[in-house]
Amino acid sequence: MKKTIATITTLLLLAAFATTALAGEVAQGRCVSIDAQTLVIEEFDLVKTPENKNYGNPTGIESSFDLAAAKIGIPPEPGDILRIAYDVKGNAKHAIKVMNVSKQDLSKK
Amino acid sequence: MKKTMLTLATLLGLALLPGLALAAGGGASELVVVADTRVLSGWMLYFADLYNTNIVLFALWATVLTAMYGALLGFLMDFVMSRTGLDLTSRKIVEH
Repeated sequence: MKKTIATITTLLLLAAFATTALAGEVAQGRCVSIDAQTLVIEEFDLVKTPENKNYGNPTGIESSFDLAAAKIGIPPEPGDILRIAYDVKGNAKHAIKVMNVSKQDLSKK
Repeated sequence: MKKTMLTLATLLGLALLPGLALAAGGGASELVVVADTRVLSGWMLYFADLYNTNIVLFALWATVLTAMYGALLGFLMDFVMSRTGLDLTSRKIVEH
């Protein structure tokens, strides 16, 4: 009986937390500029062509991310392909994690 | 007590030794992985998003699901074994 209650409690807790977790978004693109506070990328789309079969094509849209609370992997440099998990608060995009895709490529070549 | 201190000092010394080696470089940068949720939907989106935004809850889910999977396999094996005619519910040894 105790075991059942513990299982149900755990599942309920997970369900309760679940609603708070679905807030993040992901963007991928080429790093345009980066400093201690702000990262700017040119976003890529999801269309894979023979020329850009790994990362998609540049869209020309530049997005800026606040890096104050971000966990950054291999330090990005302008020109690197980055994938960013972020939260939107108001008009600002707050980066949560920054992955340097071009220097840490996990896809099969 | 002295022996313990000596052991600890020795271990600390050994731990610091690699740093003195000529080949020792700076610390490697942390590897950060972001799951690409742009192409996902449903449960896959939920878990990938969780991996990106709340790694503690993701770990909790992994633990719970692993336990549930273990229990499922256990019950399945119990069922299969009972179908073979073996009675595993009794510890009675008939030879004695």
